[in-house]
Amino acid sequence: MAWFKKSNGGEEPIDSVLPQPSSKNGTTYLGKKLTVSGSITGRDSVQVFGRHEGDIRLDGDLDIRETAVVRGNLRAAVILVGGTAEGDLAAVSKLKIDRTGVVKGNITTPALALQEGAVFNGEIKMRS
Amino acid sequence: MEVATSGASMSLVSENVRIEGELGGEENILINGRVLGSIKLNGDIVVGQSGVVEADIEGNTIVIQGTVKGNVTARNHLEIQATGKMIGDITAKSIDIKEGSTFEGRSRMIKPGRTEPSPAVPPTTPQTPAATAENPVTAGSKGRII
Repeated sequence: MAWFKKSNGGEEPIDSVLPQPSSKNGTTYLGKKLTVSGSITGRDSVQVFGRHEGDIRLDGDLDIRETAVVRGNLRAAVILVGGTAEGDLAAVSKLKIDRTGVVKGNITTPALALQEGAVFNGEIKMRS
Repeated sequence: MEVATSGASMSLVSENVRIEGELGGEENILINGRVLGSIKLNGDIVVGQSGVVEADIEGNTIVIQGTVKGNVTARNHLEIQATGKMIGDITAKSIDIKEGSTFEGRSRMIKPGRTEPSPAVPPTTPQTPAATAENPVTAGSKGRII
């Protein structure tokens, strides 16, 4: 039985880089007016809208939004930077700096995307 | 300047996340994970059922459904729900401790109209009663009425 299926052409929209909410792990949401000083660790994903000073080590994804200012060493599966991040960033699968993103520090990632307008001062190392 | 009211914006510490340090700011927060350190917010705080907080907590309205080890100060209302376990001292303007909850500690009320809790130890006897002739038992009284 034949049925028609519209093919997409195989191009991935940019949005696919955003972390998909996983049903197993939740997402921590740190609002715009929240300041955290200390370390954040865990299996979940974290979205930061406010200020954070300290290290972040996650099994999940880290999304630093436009209003966020994060200082510290960061490590996550996928790191998205739309705000300001100062420190060393290490992503296990990919790292993306948006046009509003500012990164001061060294980054280590196997895959990198940098939007036009992003600011990055540091060294980049890509693992093979 | 927007006023942070409960329900307006709610931060969330999810279940598999652990924060060691200090949380501050003007946010409401729901804690389903672990927090160690101190929490001092101008907002409402809910410690969810899976939440474990080992910290001193200061907030406006505080609802405890999980475990809290530390001193809790609620500027408005403190509620320890049936699944809640509160170990430490509480200070609040109004409290509601539900059946089934665990609470080990001291409770102090903030009197409405005051911003600080009333002193824990009420003043006992007045230090200097008026030294009148009728009262022979005062320190420094000169004579005794026989």
